[in-house]
Amino acid sequence: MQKGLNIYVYVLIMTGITALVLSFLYNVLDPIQAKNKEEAKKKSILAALPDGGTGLDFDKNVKVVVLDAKGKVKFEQKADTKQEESDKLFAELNKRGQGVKYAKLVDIDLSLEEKFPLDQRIYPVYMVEGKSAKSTIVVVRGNGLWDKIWGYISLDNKEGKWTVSGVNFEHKAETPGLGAEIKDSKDFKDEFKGKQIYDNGGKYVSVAVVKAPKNKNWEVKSISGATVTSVGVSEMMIRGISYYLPYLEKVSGKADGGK
Amino acid sequence: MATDTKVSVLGKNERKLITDPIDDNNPVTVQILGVCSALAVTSQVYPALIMAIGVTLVTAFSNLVTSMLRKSIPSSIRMIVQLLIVAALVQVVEMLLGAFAYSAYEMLSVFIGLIITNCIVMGRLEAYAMANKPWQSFLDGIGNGLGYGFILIIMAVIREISGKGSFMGWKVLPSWYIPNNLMVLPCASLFLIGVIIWVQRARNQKLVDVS
Amino acid sequence: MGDILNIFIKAAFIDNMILSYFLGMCSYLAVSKSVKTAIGLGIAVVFVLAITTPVNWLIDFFLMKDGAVIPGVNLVFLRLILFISTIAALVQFVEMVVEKASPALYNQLGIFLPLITVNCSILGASLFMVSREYNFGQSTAFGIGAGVGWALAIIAFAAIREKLRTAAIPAPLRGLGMAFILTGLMGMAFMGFMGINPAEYMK
Repeated sequence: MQKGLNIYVYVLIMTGITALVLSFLYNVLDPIQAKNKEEAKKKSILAALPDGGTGLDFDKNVKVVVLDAKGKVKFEQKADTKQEESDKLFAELNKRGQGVKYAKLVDIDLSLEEKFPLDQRIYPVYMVEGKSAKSTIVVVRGNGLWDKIWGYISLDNKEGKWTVSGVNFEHKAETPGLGAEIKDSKDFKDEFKGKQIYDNGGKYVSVAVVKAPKNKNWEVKSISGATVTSVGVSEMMIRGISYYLPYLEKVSGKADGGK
Repeated sequence: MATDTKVSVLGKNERKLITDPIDDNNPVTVQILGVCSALAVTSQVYPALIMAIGVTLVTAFSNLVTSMLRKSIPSSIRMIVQLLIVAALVQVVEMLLGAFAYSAYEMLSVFIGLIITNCIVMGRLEAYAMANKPWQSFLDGIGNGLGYGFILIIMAVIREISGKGSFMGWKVLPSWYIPNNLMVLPCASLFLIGVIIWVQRARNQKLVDVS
Repeated sequence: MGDILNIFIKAAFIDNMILSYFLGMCSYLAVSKSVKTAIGLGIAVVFVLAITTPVNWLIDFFLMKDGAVIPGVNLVFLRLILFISTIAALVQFVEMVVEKASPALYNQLGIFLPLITVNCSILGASLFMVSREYNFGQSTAFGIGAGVGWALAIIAFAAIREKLRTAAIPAPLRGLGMAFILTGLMGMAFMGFMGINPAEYMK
């Protein structure tokens, strides 16, 4: 054991054994983890619905629409959409590089899209057909205090007016009890329900998060002690939804946003 | 660290190996090992519980493996081999959590990887497993893991109930209780662990620090 | 450039390794009885963090990316092992270089260097760097900043502990118990930096 050569052999054998064991486990467990991640995302998207998406199945009830950087429809999933059609979309998207490899519609994620310049990004829209109502869920992403925050915003088209029917926020590393309340506090999320994204004059205002809301129609109260995170949510809402405006306005049928 | 020569499955000495680290020789409050993660993951009970299980598994199995290999490990590269064993086990735990307890995996994030540098693990390998039989080492690992988990869970219970009014995510305190946000902030865990040490030493005079 | 300075300041003050993430607590508590040793360990940590974080970034970038070594094979499951061995090897290397180059510095730092391998802040910095997706320059700035923040915290802490020796503290609280409460108070003070975005002042 004292000779140098033996030590190298020993280390080599040890490393070899560990690498083998680990690679075996990785191959077995990684698909399960990837599936968990996907399920968690689907659940998070559906949680934006007013009833929390209970009883809905993402694969059955949700159709994905992909918008290009200008807000035009690039791809629309329909009941009879074939695998080849979406594969064609992925092949085109994956050509952009940056290590982004989409294989399913649910893989499309703003965290990956952020790697591209603004004019190359795409934006997913989730069309939910529930038992009673239809909802459109859009994705927004911005900065909190420590790290990224993102949210799924469920919108309803009420007589040509887009109103928020529910939200679900997520964060990477906000302070528990303060910034993390955007995800943990049901009261905060409930405040968004019924808010308009246009003011009464038809101007786009999104939903603002402010200290003292003056207008109950499109302002919600910020979280005390978490000013930076609240400002981040506000900024994320106004910028994030604006990417979807051309699409939303086309759907609502009024180019001026539905006065 | 009395090593007995008798081979018994769960004799008096073996039981002591498990119970001793829970109080008299607690790794966190007495040996000051593994404090880093004890503080960071205790704002809620569920992640703390998962972390405690993870650390117990890693300590127990790394003790076991090291003890089995103790006669063959060349002393000059002892540390590297130990690190290799620990790192591999931590990686296994990380993958298992990702596959079977995904929400805890998300909550703990980098702290799972940091089990490697949790001094309890390396400390026990050096102090116990390198000189003792596999079964005893395994029990010693479990004991230290439990001692660590014990403190973790006490802290997490206090912090979650007072800071959020809930336990394992369920509301337990009535609605008139306004959650004390200070308790979920990171610095609260430091005050709490200071108080736990105070209580333990007031009860157990032999642990008092004279310096 | 502003981006890099921003990350440096954030890592040193706002996301302080000890006071916001409690990384490297073990050696922080053990080696803070006098200011002199605290300065020694502090410098050693800055040194090691400044080297290991960028090196681990290179390893992560060139070896761990999907199909980087063998096409179609993803080696992420070796990340922890490679990171910790790089750290162990680099600490050993730094120790040897310092011993040869400057025996005086070695006498000051020598005893602390082996301790650093198992200092969670070193591995923690590498893991944070991966999860925050920094690039090479940002990783270097982050490593140095995290080290400076760590050194700052331990030196301040040691200075307070030296003063505390003459204070009347209840016997069971003396030493360790008081050390924790003190760190908690320092953490609260550092929370004052929370929410400051250095980028806004650099415009």
